[in-house]
Amino acid sequence: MWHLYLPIAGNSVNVILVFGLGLFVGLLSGIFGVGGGFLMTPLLITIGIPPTVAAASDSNQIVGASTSGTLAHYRLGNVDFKMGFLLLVGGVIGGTVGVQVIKVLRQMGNAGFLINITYVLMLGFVGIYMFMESLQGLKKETDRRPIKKTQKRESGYARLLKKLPWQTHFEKSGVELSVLMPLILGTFVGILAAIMGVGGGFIMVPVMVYLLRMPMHVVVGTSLFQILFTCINVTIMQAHSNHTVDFVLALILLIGSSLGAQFGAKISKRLKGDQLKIILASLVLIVMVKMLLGLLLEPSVLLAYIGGH
Amino acid sequence: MLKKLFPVIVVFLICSAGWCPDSPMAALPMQMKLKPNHIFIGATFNGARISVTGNVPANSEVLIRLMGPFENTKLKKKGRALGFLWMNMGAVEFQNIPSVFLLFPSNALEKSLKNDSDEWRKIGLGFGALEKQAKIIPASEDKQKLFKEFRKLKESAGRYEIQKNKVRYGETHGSTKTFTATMSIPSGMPKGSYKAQVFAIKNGSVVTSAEEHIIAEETGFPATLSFLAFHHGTLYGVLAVLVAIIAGLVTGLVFKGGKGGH
Repeated sequence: MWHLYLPIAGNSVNVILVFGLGLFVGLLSGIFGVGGGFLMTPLLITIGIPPTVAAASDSNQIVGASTSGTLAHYRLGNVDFKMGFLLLVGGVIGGTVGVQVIKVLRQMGNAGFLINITYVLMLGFVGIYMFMESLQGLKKETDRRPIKKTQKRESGYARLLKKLPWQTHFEKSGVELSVLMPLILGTFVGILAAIMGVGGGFIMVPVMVYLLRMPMHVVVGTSLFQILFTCINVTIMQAHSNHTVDFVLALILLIGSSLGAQFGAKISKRLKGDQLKIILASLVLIVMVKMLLGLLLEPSVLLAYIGGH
Repeated sequence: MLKKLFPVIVVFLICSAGWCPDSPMAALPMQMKLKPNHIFIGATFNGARISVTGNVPANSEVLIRLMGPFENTKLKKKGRALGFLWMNMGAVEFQNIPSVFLLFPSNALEKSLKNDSDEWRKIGLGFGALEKQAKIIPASEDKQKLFKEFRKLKESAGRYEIQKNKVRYGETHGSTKTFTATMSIPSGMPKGSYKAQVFAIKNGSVVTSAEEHIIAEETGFPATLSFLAFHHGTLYGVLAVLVAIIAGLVTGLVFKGGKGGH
């Protein structure tokens, strides 16, 4: 009872369990503006879904969750479409470049090693930086000191930003930037995401916060908007080339996750920017520790199915 | 005279040495029946139970084996890099290996089968025999170690297993006794053709055997969806995306409606 057969995964699952999984990951997605693939794919593998099907079907469900999440954040005025569109264009260019880079890396050998180490180091760096920065922000708030924009931020980076051509105003984000910035950074994230085989939400959110200087709430909404298009692309590509999208699985997941994303957006609204950042930073660090342990501890089985994150 | 008799003597010697293994088996009574022998994988399929009934020689023990479909499986191999990091270190392929390999021994056989004793390797029925026939590419790999890991991987999905307490004996009629067994098949069984075999074992050798085939095929919604996914991939992808977007939008609108929206 309560079981449905997944024709592409070739296994049956408990509908309530998968729905619950979707609800939980959708909640995180709505709160933090991440796709949640880092969490969903391993969980799906645990319940007996082949890794390639887990990753592809997850992309399909993220389409639902991020549509729901983007809509919810749009109503709250948190989506910067202009910025999102530019990042997206960069992301597509980066994704295409990334796929070529990974081919070269594979030919050189040791690709897996490089990818894993880079991933762990980057998550560690981003997580710790974000954690410390938001902790300081929260402390300042509790001290009730006037929040000053720190002067040291007017650094070389800030001056460089101002010098770039095609400066334009991003109304929702409240920043003045060159069009080149989101394009270049979008490309950078796209390359990394393609190499690492992840959606890139984890990298995109800190990039928007620290390098594009966008307010955290707008970051969440805009990130979801961008993830939506990335995942539409991935789902169609996977269905076309690898036949790994299990629609039944994705449907159960996305009913849960699009509901979760709505609640998530509401929770996100109630939390302060620094609170959001510190929780996300903790999540990033947990994922980093999990990956590190995966590298250091001997796996229980020394063989694994090909695919997945 | 001796020259004329030579071929006769050779045939006699070969047959008495067991060269014609089928002939003594065929002489012993053996029957098996499967119910059902066709598995339909529909939308609510959650594994199957197949009953096996039949007769075997009264003084023998029963082992039932279900295996199939044969496939080639490529897997990532984990190994140590720089002496302390566990990473993917290349791939290995298991060729022509059954996707499902389930054994249902009688209680008397279970312990020795589980320990994979030499006796079982000799009979050629247990996991040891499967390891022997498995072909691993590249051939230079440590076959024994890799097969052990492969078996662990399969066991975690319930595809390779020794299921205990499944075989029950019934009445004895003269030289035969009846048996029944219920095979639990995992929901993760691939579609295709399976071989169900019953072996009657006595004093460490197979005295007689029988086999039947089981077909597992998708039907209804899963069959339609599989056809679409594998034959019209792009259309399937576009539809999957559209449904996801609509579901996301509907959820969004329902929430707006719930709040009395604007």
